[in-house]
Amino acid sequence: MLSTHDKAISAHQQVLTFRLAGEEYGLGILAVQEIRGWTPVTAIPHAPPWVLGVIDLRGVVVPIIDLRRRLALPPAEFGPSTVVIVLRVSTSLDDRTVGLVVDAVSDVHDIESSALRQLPDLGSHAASEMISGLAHADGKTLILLDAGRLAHSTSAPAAH
Amino acid sequence: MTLDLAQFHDTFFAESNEALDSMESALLKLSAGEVDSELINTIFRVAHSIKGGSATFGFTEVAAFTHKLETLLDELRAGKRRVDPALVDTLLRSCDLMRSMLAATQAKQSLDAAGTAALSAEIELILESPAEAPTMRVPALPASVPAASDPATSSGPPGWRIHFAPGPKLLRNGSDPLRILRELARLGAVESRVDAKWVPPLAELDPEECRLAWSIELTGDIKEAAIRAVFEWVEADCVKLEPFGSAATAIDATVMMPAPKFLEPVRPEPEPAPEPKPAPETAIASPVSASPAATMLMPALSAPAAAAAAPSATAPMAQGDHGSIRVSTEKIDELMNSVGELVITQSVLNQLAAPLEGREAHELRSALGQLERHMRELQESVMRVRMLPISSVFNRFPRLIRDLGQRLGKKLELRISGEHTELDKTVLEKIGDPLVHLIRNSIDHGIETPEVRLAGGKSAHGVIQLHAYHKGGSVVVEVGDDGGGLNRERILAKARERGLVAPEEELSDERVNNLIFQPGFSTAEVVSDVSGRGVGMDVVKRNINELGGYVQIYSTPGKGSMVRIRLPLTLAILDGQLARVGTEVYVVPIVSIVETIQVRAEQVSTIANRAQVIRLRDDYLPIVRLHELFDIEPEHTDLLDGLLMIVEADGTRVGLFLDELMSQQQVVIKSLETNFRPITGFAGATMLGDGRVALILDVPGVISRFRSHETRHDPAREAA
Amino acid sequence: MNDAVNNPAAAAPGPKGTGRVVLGVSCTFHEAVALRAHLLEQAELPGPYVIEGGAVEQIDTAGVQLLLAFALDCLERNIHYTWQSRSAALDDAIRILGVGALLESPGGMA
Repeated sequence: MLSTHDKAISAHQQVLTFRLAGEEYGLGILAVQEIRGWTPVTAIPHAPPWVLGVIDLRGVVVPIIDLRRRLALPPAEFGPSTVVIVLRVSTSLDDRTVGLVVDAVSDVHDIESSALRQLPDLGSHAASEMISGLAHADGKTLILLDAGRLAHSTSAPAAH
Repeated sequence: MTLDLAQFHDTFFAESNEALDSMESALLKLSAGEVDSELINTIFRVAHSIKGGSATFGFTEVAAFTHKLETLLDELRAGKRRVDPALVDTLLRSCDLMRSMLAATQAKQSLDAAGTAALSAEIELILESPAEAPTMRVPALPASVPAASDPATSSGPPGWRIHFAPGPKLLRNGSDPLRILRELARLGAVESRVDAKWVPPLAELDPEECRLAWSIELTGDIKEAAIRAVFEWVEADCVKLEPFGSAATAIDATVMMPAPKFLEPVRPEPEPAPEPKPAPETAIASPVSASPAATMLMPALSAPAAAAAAPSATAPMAQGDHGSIRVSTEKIDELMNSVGELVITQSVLNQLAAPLEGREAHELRSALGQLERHMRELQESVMRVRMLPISSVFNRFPRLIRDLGQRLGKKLELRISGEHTELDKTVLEKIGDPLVHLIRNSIDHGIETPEVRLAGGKSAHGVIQLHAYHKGGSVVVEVGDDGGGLNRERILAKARERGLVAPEEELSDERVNNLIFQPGFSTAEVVSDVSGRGVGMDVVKRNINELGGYVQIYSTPGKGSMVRIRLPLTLAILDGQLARVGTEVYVVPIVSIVETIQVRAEQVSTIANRAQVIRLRDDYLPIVRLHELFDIEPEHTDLLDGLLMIVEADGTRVGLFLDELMSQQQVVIKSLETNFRPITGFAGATMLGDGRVALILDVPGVISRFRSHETRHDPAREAA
Repeated sequence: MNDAVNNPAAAAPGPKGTGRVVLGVSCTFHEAVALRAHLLEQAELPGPYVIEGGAVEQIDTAGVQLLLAFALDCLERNIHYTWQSRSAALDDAIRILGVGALLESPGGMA
């Protein structure tokens, strides 16, 4: 269903890496529309806790996701290096744009498909469904995220 | 003016010179004996756009001269004047004069005043000479076409739209509309259309009664008092005046739709092929567009509906296109979005300009004010493109009613009015099903059988009435019947049985009637004396609410009931009141607001240590603390410090407690759904002037969220 | 419609041939009853009709309205009519009242 993005990573692909709670994460660069600084958001009542609110991105209402919260990581203060990665994910059904708040953007890496590993079964964990796999690059382990799932995770109705 | 308009001058001069070239070549073809409407329209268009442009840039001499020229060309275009070699010669010299005037203006040299005066006088002389019927047929093409194709002319000359429906007695009183219209023509250029739909067959016509009505467009800078004076001897309510300042355009989205709003024609609109044999009913019942321009020229009757459907025939002009084009709705939506963005940018500019001081700031603000008006006109024009008459929906009902009547053994009569009321295409597409439900309900449960009706002293024929009209910024559609009305006792009994109403609770009729919109309240069981499954009115209500509209029901026992649907003109833009709660700004649709008050302590009661109500004119309204509902930090928590905005939806009123009222503005509705999801209580979001996003409250949603919120927090329930 | 104008039997060919409407010098409110009678009389004859309007010098809304009703009846019955002539006064009234399109038979002008 969201295999387009899995594929994007499984081939020889470029990945945007960023830091989050001391770990290095990656997102397929094709899903990244832009990177922007943090701007105040408009809170949405009754939204899931990881949805910080919405911003006006050139006339389009875009939700901003606190990726730390989304992945059940400890919260952090937003600092000067705090950035928003704007993802744009197109599927045959729709076209979604979301912003992810991360601690800092690191680099763009080339990932060989041979370097890709599946995430071992860690039991049910909030984060695991968002993770498409692991990779090793430049002596570091990258946690690769599934852009499609991140972008669509806001559309499910919140439980009360 | 500190703003530099000069940068636009060059474009104007360049475009005008090109336009003059095309005017010249059209004139040369005319002089060669080639007469066709398109040539004359081309010439008119050039004069029209040069006039508009020069007026905008303050080139008054050019504007004044082209205005005269335009008047003359308009008569040509309307076929009121014959094209002869002398006239073509005058026009060619006018063309030259305009060229030299523009060149001089561009070079900032003085104009040839004497030459201008001479040619102006010549044109005036022609204008004063009696216009004669033309020998050739020059189909009239409307000014709206050039306006549509040429942005420079989007702001046309000022004038008045006059709707004149004298009523039958007028002639006997010694008044004559012909005389009145002649007098109007002395004030400015008159384009009148007769509305002959009330003219009965000759045999039934009382020759001393006036059955005609007119829509008149009077162009010119004319004082209202002057027009009123012309209508001095006519009862005031027969005459409606409406000023206009720009030539509106109507290009239809998907259907070739020639006529704009009924009785509010904006110039003779592009007519598709006139058709030779309209169906008789159509010919009589439809508003007929005729104008002086079309008087001698339209070979046949051209009723919008019939004309749109009928194939072309007799007239030579029938094959040509008449200024209508088909445009995909996507393109219109794109345009709509761009306009929406412009509106936002406009408000950003306003905000930036607001704190500035000094003379230049004042000029900037006045220019911005002008921009805002133009934006509004642009927005309206674009919105109008999406508008279609509701007749396309109403037209399916005669069949439905006939079929249902036969099946249920009821005699029915359908009365439709206001079918030319226009609605946004999207709204129109979604309104059909709810209306079918309502009509079915009326027939099924409202209208009695002929026997019952006769016994009740009514005629055997039940009447279903469909009525559409504009009110404020909304369109109202009413579905009424003269049946038995809602059965209050049954509804109440049912509601009590369902636990919707406490056994001892007494409700107003309005509240009772509105109970039928509750989910699961099957109308068949409640309202009807006839067997058969009713359609859930809750579905109807939900559908209408999703369109941003509201439903109300009115009923008189034994006399019938009426459902009134209020719909937004468009889905994309709404008039909003900005309101602040803490640091958050929300937009409340003005259509939902009753009033905003400051609370006095004695008005408030606290019930069961929790729920608060306010007493307002003998009614108790629940107080909704928005900050609690939305879980945000307010500035005020004491009711006496903030404001209470009384809002209404579906006949329910509540008071929204908030910190401060801010400005009112038109906002462009952005979907939350695109990248997020719909949220109960919010109709969407919009961008504020400062670039922030503000959420738009959906009042029915807020009320239902409030109710579930209260229920969840009800200690009694939690204990149980 | 139950009036004579629309009674097909009345439209049967009569001895006088096809209908011919002749408008007098004055077609105003004061002549309206007579004009209506004349129009109805001619409408009983078979079509196509000819309207002779060259003599009209005075006409008002009442007169134009009668012509309009006649023309609409013709449309409804799908009978053509032609204008043999129209005086300037008649043309002027038709133009000012904005009824031109309705007073033009599908058959066109003669």
